[in-house]
Amino acid sequence: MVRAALSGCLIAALASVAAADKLVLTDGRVFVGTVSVEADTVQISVPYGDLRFPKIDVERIELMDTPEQEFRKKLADTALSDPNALYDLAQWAGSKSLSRQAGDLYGLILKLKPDHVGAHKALGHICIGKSWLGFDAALEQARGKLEAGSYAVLLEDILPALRAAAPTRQQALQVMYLLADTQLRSRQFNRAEASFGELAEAARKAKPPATDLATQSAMIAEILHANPDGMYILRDVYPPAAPLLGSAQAHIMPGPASLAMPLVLEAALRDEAKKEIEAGRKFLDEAQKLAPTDPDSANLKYALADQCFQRADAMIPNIARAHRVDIARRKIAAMRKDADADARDFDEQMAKLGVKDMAPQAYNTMLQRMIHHLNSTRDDLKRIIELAQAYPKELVLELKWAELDLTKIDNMRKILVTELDGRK
Amino acid sequence: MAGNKYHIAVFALVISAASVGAAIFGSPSFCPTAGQVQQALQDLQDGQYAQAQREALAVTNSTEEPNPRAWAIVAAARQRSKNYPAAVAAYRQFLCEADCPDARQFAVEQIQACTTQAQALATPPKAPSKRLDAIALADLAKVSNRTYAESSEHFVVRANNPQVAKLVAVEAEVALDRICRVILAGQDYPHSVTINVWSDMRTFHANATEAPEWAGGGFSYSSDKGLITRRINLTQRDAKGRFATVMLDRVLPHEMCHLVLKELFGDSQCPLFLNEGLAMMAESEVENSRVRLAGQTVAGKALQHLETICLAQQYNVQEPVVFYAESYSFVEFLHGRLTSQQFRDFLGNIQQGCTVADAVQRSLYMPAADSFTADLANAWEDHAIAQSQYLEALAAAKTTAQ
Repeated sequence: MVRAALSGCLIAALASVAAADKLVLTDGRVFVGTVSVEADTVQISVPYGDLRFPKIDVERIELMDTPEQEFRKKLADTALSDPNALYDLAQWAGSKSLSRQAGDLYGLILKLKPDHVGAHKALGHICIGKSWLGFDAALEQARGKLEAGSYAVLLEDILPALRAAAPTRQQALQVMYLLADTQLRSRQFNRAEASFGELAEAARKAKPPATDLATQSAMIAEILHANPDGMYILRDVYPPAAPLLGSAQAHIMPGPASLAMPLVLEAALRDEAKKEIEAGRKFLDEAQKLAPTDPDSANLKYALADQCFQRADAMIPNIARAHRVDIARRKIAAMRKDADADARDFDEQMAKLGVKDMAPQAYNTMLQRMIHHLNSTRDDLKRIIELAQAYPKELVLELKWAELDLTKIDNMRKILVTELDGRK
Repeated sequence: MAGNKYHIAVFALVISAASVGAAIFGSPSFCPTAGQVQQALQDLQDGQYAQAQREALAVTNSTEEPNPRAWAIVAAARQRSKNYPAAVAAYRQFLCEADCPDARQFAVEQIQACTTQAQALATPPKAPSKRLDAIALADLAKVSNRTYAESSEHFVVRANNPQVAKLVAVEAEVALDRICRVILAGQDYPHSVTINVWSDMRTFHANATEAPEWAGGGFSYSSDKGLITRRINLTQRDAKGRFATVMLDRVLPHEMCHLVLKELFGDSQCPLFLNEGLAMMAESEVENSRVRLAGQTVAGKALQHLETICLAQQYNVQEPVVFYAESYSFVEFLHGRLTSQQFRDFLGNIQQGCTVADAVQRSLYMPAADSFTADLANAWEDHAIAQSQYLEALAAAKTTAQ
């Protein structure tokens, strides 16, 4: 039974085993792969492709066992009902980069002995309570424990294990966040401040950088730094819609409250996001004043405003979305103005066509000018569509109008280009 | 040139990003009294105000490491147990120790809130005509051939009765203060307005051509070659020749609110429901029939949905009486549930062309939610029904007592 299971899972691995030969060249270079000898050349297949050398350059060919072949031999010598022997073989396989075979063996070991600690650890499982869980399940379980207030077990056992087992950088960041959050909720404010600071750094250095997480964590670290006693003073009720909507959900009254409470931390982040939005709105107002006379400066102000809104959104997701839509709307309005100016120029040229006699050269030049106007309008419309597509719900009209106009422009352009080509 | 500006902006962005990063490099702060502060906060959260106050006071008075920030807990505990004078004293202690501008602003706001809460029950609003006796009313109904003028800080009042001119000038200032300070949450109005009090409806309509046929008052705002004229037209006497108390109590503040809103919104259009709702709120006393009607229509089949109300224009108003009642109810609901700052922001957002839901969400600094309009409508409808039921119950109790 065991042998059948094992052979089933390892067949695929062993079927692909190929000889690993060592090809030594006269100049001292050594290649390991599958050698085939042809008329005047020797070919060797290496992981990155096939190489061909003249026979004269080859000093010798050594036929060797590949790790897979070695693994097959070792497997044949291993007692398949002995979990410890299988564990040793799996570790050896792992050390030889045979991770798939090692994984299959660890799976087999757990079938033989479900509480085999070494196999669980090798598979990245984490022990929570009495059960071993995969990373994602363990992370979810840890979040549940955080909500349940089981801070000690999280800080002492689960989170260190999760941190060690995190398979990817992104998952490691999630564990770091959980650790910092746990420290905060268990009122270890100075430790939480340090952890959020570290998290911000790690998120910034991650590839790709987790910018929003970095901004949010840095801000939490700042908030904790400014409030070392863990007391935060709320100026408004939080969540802010609670008084208006009369929601039955929990809310915090204005006044002093502990940052260990998640709602209070959210409120503190919202206050910071609010400051960013206010700063962004100032840039937006300045941009609006500049737009008619100095569009370049207006665009720079829009960029600064967008930075502020992005930071606000990083702290509280989507809190500044409406303002970002405003920026897009205003930029679209400015582009529309440009497009309309081009359209007017086009119409003027169009009105001249057929009104007076024209030399063929002048007619061609006029067609080219008209195509140029259409190109310019088309570019504007494409940029409008690109901008509006980021907010398809809010800018549905802008998007539809631009799409319709673009179709019209394309059709007109096609006619003019055909006319111009026909005359050449 | 544009390229240079671009580089400057990029540099500014990098600097600002770096400053956020730099903030976290300092060593973590440590507060030795954090444990005691947290315990006091927990008690405050649990409603154990006396206990919270004791613990926080102990932290502020600690001989080793006093933590003056704990005065905020003392103050909040006193405020929540409605001991407003003591709360003010604690907030003052906190204010003199606070080093952060937000915290100082909070303390100032709470001192004001405590002072207002302490006075709230002492001065219920009263319509100006309620202060007039029969003799005064008879005097105010008299009409002379002469026009008398009376001026105040913002108004020049003209009437055919010197007492009316004087009374209207005084009450106009009171109404303007209430509109700007309370209803519009701190709006300035540094302008001069002419108020004409016409002796009866006939002369009123002969002179106030902008007013609809049924109206007893109106306002006008006109600009000619840079000269702006603001005018309110009122009627002194009703059809039976008595002094029109409704003019003093309702029409004057109502029309004045429209005038202030006209100026506030400028070229933007103030939505009809908001314009009329705020104007009705400006009236000296709540008209209970409106509140009852709003509740009854919301609970019954005559409800005009919130979206319909918000989009209504003068020409397409269905069932004007219901529309006015529901507009008043909704605006009063918003005004009562938002803070002054939030309401001011709401008006600003409406002025910039936001929808009502968007304007409210922006003023609350909350992420936009698809369900918000429906949630807002539900909350308002609940409020309208509750207000109406309260008045019905009050009326029933009064009838039983009689």
